[in-house]
Amino acid sequence: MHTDGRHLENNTLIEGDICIVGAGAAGISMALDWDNTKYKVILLEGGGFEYDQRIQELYAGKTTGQRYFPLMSSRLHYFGGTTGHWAGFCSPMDPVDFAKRNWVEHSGWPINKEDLDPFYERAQKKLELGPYNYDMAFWQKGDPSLLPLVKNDSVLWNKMWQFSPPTRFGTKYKKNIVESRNIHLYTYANLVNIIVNETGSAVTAMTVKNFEGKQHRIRAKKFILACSAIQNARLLLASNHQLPNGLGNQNDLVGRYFMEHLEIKSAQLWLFKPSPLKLYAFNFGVTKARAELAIHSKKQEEFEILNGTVALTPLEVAEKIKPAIERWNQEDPRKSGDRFFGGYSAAGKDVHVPVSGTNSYQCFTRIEQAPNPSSRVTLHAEKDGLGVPRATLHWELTSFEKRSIRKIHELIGEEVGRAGMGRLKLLDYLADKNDNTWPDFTGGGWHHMGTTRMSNDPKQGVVDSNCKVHGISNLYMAGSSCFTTAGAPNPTLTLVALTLRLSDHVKKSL
Amino acid sequence: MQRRQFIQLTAVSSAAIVITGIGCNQRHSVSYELLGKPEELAQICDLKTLKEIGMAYRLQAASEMDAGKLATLLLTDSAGSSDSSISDNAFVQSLMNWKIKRDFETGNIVIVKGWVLALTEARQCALLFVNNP
Repeated sequence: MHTDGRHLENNTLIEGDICIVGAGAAGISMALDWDNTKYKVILLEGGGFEYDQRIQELYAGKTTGQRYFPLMSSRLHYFGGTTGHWAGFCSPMDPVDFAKRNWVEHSGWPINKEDLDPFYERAQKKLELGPYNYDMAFWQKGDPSLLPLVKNDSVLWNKMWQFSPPTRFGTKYKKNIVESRNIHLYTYANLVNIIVNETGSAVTAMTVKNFEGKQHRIRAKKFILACSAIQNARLLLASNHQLPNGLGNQNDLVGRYFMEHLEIKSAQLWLFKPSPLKLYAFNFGVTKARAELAIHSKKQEEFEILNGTVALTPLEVAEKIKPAIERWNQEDPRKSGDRFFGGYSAAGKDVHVPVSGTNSYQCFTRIEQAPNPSSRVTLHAEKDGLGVPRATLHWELTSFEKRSIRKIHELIGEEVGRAGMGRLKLLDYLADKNDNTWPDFTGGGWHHMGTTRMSNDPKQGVVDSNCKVHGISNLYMAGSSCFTTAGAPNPTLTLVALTLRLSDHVKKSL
Repeated sequence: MQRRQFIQLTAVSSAAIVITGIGCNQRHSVSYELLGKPEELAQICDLKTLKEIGMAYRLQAASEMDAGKLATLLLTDSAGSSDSSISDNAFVQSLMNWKIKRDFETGNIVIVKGWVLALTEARQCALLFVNNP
């Protein structure tokens, strides 16, 4: 069922059993999980079914610290959310990502990988992926030519990825949502305030607005914010009319520990003999699975480094592609998207890599950012068109990330040398181990995580192991804002899995 | 495999080229040109790059400044003994390759100008640079 919030009579009261705010990967996944149940599900979307510049501008914000993409274009604000232009890269986190690691301050989720496994399996289907099997041997059965770079796996292992078509939630699931008898989608319904009871222990209502001057009120038994990590934090902080510090922020944690994946070229791999390295190759829209090089958890512990993976791209192709931070520099996500994806298309046309392969590859790192309370989202004095303070993102990296990237590549270089395959050359910015600066091409993956981090201790996290906000009985966070640590893989698969787990929990508690 | 075993397995005879190590007390019966040729690395690096690596390594390892010292180190086994009588080119080349392999196996690695290298091949580059600055 669908209602356009602009066409409702002003001050309409909308009531249901649960209210999900945000119709992106998390919000739609959760709503669909309630389809055909006895419960009335309210799904709120700030935009409509198509891109709307005025709505998109609500996401504009300020950035300080490490250079970052314009906030306005780093998320999409219409039905389907950022799946409207995501690339579909999926892989689950590793068991070590959930563990308390003595060498990573603030690490340790209150849940582990096994807790999420059944939900990863369900998330695979939502994202139109293959079987929930990320074992290299499984994929080699289907294609024996997928050979690892290094056979000795005591240091390196091959972390498999799968690729979603990519699923555009806005088109793929629109019919399911709109035709559902118990899911009530309201478009042009932007959350602007969360109202709590006198003690602040429960949400009593939410206020939504649109640019037609309409304001409506939502009542439900349970409320779930699924608006992305920056917006989840922003909305909790901005709902400060009753509690000056905002909601769930009694310990000054909301917005802190913002994490991104560093995505950055790091080294060159030179092989003595050309090889296609098919196991690591990626062809958008064609490749179903591929591997990236990863470091065993015991070696991570031994060298006290963060978890990261390394993708291999023929150097000739990689050198034609400008860094993402330079291509994705427009406030308008359509313009940034054209520049970004156009860069790949042009490089692919200009360079022909023979089937037999090449002998030089670029090593491109994806690595978790260490949880850092100073890396954070706060409110800016300037307000958006609906009167909500804009977000300021202060993205802050440390020397830990850089040391880890360097060590990961040293280890890969040693293993490649040991295997007699070739040699690895670190890029200049990693050559001096005492240099803690970052080069101009340092970028992220548009992966916003950690602003309402999970911990069973209210002094360490905003939500508990069920994604419920500490101290508020009926408010939950869905998505990557709950991540305690970032892991190495792109977050979509994990955030959908975590949301489906939350969904089960809410069902049991109603 | 120990160096002695390696010698037993791979030694072959050929004419010796006797050169005296400059600035070193030891006489070496093998050419610096041969010693200063990292065979595998030369497959992926041009001469200029190899020399740059050599120059950078000399800055990193100040105690290995002269050719004689480098040659001695290159011909020194893990037990610390140097065999200056080695004179066969093919054998020397095999010995260097074996030392490089062993360096990687034992973690005897250096990073020079960003290259993750076996110590032996870094020294070979340094010798190359010293002989052809």
